[in-house]
This record gives sequence, C-alpha cells and structure tokens, in this order.
Amino acid sequence: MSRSFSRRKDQEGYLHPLTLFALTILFTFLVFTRNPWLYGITCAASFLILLSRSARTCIKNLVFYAGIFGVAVLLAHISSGFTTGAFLGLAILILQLFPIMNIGRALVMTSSTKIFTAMRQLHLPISLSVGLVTALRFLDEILLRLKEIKAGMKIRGFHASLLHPVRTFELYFVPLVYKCLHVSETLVSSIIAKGIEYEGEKTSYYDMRFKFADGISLFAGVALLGVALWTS
Amino acid sequence: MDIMKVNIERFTYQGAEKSSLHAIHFAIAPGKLVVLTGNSGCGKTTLTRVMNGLIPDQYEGTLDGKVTLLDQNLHDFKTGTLAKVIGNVFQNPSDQFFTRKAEDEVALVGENLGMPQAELRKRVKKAFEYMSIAHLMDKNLNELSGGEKQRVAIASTLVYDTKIIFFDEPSASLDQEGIRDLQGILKLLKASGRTIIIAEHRLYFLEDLYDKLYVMKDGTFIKEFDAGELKSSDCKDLGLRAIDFSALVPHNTTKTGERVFSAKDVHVSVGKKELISNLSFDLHSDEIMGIVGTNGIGKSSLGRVLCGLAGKKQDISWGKTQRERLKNSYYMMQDVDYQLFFDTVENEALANGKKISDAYLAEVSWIIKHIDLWNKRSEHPQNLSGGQKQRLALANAFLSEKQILILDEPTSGLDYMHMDKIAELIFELAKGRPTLIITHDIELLLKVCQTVLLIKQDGYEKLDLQTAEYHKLISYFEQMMK
Repeated sequence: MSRSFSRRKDQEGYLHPLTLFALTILFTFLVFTRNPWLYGITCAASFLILLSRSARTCIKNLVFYAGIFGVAVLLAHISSGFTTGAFLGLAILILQLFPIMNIGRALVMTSSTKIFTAMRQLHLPISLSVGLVTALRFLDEILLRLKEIKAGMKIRGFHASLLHPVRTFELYFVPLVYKCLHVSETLVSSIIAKGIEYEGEKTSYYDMRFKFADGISLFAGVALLGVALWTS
Repeated sequence: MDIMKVNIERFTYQGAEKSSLHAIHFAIAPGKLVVLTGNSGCGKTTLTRVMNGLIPDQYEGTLDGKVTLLDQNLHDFKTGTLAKVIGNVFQNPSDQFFTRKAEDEVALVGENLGMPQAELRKRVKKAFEYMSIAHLMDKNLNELSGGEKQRVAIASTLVYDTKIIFFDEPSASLDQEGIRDLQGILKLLKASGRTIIIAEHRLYFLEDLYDKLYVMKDGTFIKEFDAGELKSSDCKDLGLRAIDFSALVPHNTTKTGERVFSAKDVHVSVGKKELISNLSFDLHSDEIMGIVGTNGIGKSSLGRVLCGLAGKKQDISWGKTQRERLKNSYYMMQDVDYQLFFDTVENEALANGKKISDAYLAEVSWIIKHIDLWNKRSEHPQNLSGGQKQRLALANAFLSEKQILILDEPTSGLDYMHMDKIAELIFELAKGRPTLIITHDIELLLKVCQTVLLIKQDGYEKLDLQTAEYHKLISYFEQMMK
C-alpha cells in the first residue's frame, strides 16, 4: 500500500528540478523585498514546497524558523547596544534567507537521477552535470564524515579551536578532501562502467515532463516578483 | 565457445616505468566462476580493469595484447555499450553509488543506455526482487548495511541481461554474515548462467564455487587450480588466505599476567535501541582479546563505548566517564583515514602527545622502520596504500601512552602477507598493554589473541584460545558460513 503511494508521489506530486532552480533564483530577489506581505507569502510558499518533499524536514525547519523569530523579537525588545544590534541583524538576515534555504533543501532532497535528467534536458555538458549531481550527493555524506573525523581527533587528543583556525582547518579538511578524492576514483569507474559515456539517446526512470504544478509555481513566482517591483 | 579470451603480452600504466601485467593468456567459458587471487599489488585489479574495459577508458596505459568478449575485440564495442554485457561490483559499494536512492542507482545504467521507461521500471523491480531486496527500493543508500548496499550494487548489474559480472574484493567490507550472504548470491548468479570473475584475498567462501582459480604474482599467473584443487597446504605454500578453517590453530602461547582492568554490566545502545546489556569481562596484563559477534550485534559500538566516544557513565575500571576512558584508552577506527591528519608519515607519528626529545625521536624512528615505512616517511599518509595506512595507524596507537588499546578491524581488506605483518606488529608492540581486537578475521584472531569474547544474540562467553576452547571459535565461524 505504502509502496504504491510513494510511487504516485514520485510521478505526480513533486516539482520539476528546473522549476526548483528557477524558484531559487526568483526567491533570491523576493526575500529582499521590503513588503512584509510579499515576504510572508514567499516564506509560506517555500515551506509548502519543502512539505511536499518531506514533512519531517519541513517541521524541523519550521521549528528552527520559529526559534530564530523568537530570538529576533526578544532582541528587538531589549536594550539596543552594539552587541545585541549585531545579533539582531544576524537573526533578521537568517529569517530573510530562510525561503531560499527551504527551496535549496527541497532541491538537495530531489532524486539525483531527476536532477541529472533535468540537466540533460538543458543540454548541459555531461562533465558539469556529473559534477553537480556528485556534489549534491556528497552534501548528505559530509556531515557523517565530519562526525567521524571529529571522533578520530578526540581519540588522538586533538581539538578544534577558534584560536587556531588554520590548524583546525587542517585537522578537519585534510582527511575530508582525501576521502572525497578516494571515493571519486571509484565513483568515476562506476559511472563509466554504467554507460554514462554512451552517445545514443538516453531515457529517464521518472516522468520528467513539466506539469501543472510547475506552471502554477513559476507563474506565482514571476507574479510575486512583478508585484515586488511594482510596489517598490 | 569461450565468452572471453585474454591475451596480454604486456600492460604498462601511463607514466609507470615497470609493466603491471605481462604474459597473461587464458580463456573463460560461459557460466564459469573464475577467481583471481594473490597479494596486494600482484596485478589482479589491473587485470580486471583490462578485462572490463576501464583500461584504457579511465586508466590510461599501453596495452600490448587483446581481450575479446563474445568474439569481438573489447575496444570495438561502441562507447558505453559494454555496460549491457558487463556488470561491475567495486570493493566498497558505498563509494560506487552515484545517486542517493536505491532504485535510482539500479535504474542508472538503463537510463544511460536509453532503455524505454516502462521497460526500465519493470526491469529495476525485477532486479530488486531477484536480489530479495524489493523492500529497499525507495530507501536512502546511506541508511543501508554493508551487505544491503552490496545487494543493490549487484542488482544494478542485472537490469540488462549481463553476461559477465566482475567483483573487486567483494568481501572486504563485509562481516561474517555478509560474507555468507554474498556466497549465496554468487551461487544464485552462477546458477543463472552468468560468468563471474572475482578478484579476492579471502578464499574460504569461494571454496565450493570456483571453477578456476588463478594465483598472481608480479603481474602474471604463477599457478592455476581447477575446481576443488586448492588445498590448505597450497595456501600456506603460496602465502594465500586460508581456504578452510579446520587447519587453523592458535599461535599466541604467551601467558597473560595478573588482572589489571575490568568492565562490569556494560550497556551499548544506538539511539533508543539497546544492543548489548550487562556485558562483563576482566582484562589481564599482556592480554590480547578478540571481540567477535554476529552482524549488527554492536561490536563497533561496544568499541566506541569502551574507548569513551560513547556510552556516558559505565562501570569500567579504566574510566567511569567518557572523558576518563578517552584519556586512558586508544581506539583505532575501522576506517583509519579519519585518524590521519598530518602532511608526512613522520609528522603523523610524532604527533602523539609526547614532548619532542631525543628519546622520543629515536622511538618514532624505530617504530617507522619497524612498520616498514621508513622509505615513505616524507610521503603524505593519505597517499599510502590501505595496508600501509593501517600499519601507520597501528604505530600511532602504540606510540600513544594510553593504558589500553582497542583495534577495530585492523586487517579488513588485507591479503595474507599484510595480515601477517599486522599480526606480528600487534604481537610485538602490545606487550605490557591489554589490547582488544574487534574483528571477523579468524586468521588474525588465531595468530595473536589468547582470548576471545564471543558475543551472540542470546549472551556472551569468553573463550581461552590456549585451551581446546579454540575449537569453539572455529565451529562458530564454520557455523556462520552454513
């Protein structure tokens, strides 16, 4: 039962990756609008898009958003010294960028195959498409790998310190970069062995046609931008 | 008719002075299972790369010779189309995945080669069902166990009617149960008529499966065996991993000293799930104790609790709190890449918390020579081979002044020679400090351990390998393969 449900979502429910790319760009302009209504609509739309990907992630982001919002309200009501002012500015910036973060998260959670096919539809060079999809794939893993590096550091008695940024950078990033290099060799062999270099016509496992939801989303995004420009 | 004919006079990687392969001539009949074995660097991976077409597509070099597949020169196949005939399963399944979702990974080959969507969906489903992992189709690959990942990797070779499947050290990242599953899968694939070529160190799980086994050394075949011909004595003579366990005997006859540490009622949990409860054991001076257990029982998690990376408060004599245990114990991680931070082997060994003095410099020099890395002391540790990195990580463990050492799978993926080298090092350097070894390498266990803590679903027992109890360990491993 649940199997057929998830299949239907894959085929019908989600936005096309190119729509998400376009919305990311549109939202980059929209979040800096001074119209609170437009910001509110943009923010709500971004949460809805994230909800269509994953309810759990959406709730997590919502809680985080509420937390930052609470901090901002609190800071706005206490004395406005330089330090509190700086933190207030930071909190407001995070809140402003939140819609982009939501769309970006939705994009990262999109199937790599869908993104890869979308890039093929744009006739982008294969090396660029492979690079981008691989980078998105590694985003998930980087946190896990950093956690392991941190464990390795603890065992050897090394600690991250803001007072020694270069050393801290070296401790975290040397193993991480080498790990990525090692993985990339196998990964390249694997995708070559899976026929990535085949020059004939390619197909997609998913239905990659633009759907009604894509049209509506893009129309709404452009319309909001139009309103933002008009009212500014 | 042979499915593949290999005639290689010589192959040299671009920029290399010495050839990696020479004088290799053999043919493979359809449906046969062929094993290529030999110590690391003998050329078996290079040979599989020539046979699966990755040389010269990905790895450049000069090939004097020819490989034919279905009577057609391998390099006459249209770019990318070899994927329809040849499947590949690489050493570490996690590293070979391009996507994050299991079904996407399996579908990738069909998408690349233009299989119509409806047909592709049907074949992907069938491949998952064939590997008995239909329930994993929509799972994130990061959430799967090593064995499950390997099944997904194999499923991705079944979307097309693949004639040959290459496996590069498929047992390297698997535990005992995973290896038994792999054995079952290989039987299944063989029964389906597929030709299977495996480059592998571990041989015991292939004993009843191989039709031909080639032993390689210095880039060529030095010996070949037909089905069932390879005996334990051959393995000993040729320096290979054991083909069966029955001939193995314990080697460490050193008597342990007095009790120095104890752990009482240790609890190990991952998230809310309790894996191990009420585990108690004593450790004696000079004791090397193996820790063995079934898949998912929590051996590595136990290692993390014992060294203080997890587990908060525990009744452990070398540290009740995590902080105390971290201070007093050293944990060599399964993937040692996460424990190497510096720019040279020398600096890596020097950075073990001691003040630089003439005596310490002499100690570090001695140990670098002893682990056979003196000529590589100026090289970047991350550029070393797997076995070399494991030796360096081991040297770091021994250079630390910790009272107790915990080594997690120190010989995973190593051939007999390198396993033997690690065993020797542990045996020599562990003197005076209790050492725990979490492993499913029975050859290592019997070479260095005096005792083994055997953890099962229904409890645990500590075996004394210096008595007839070692038979229990061998029976346990034999039982696991049934």
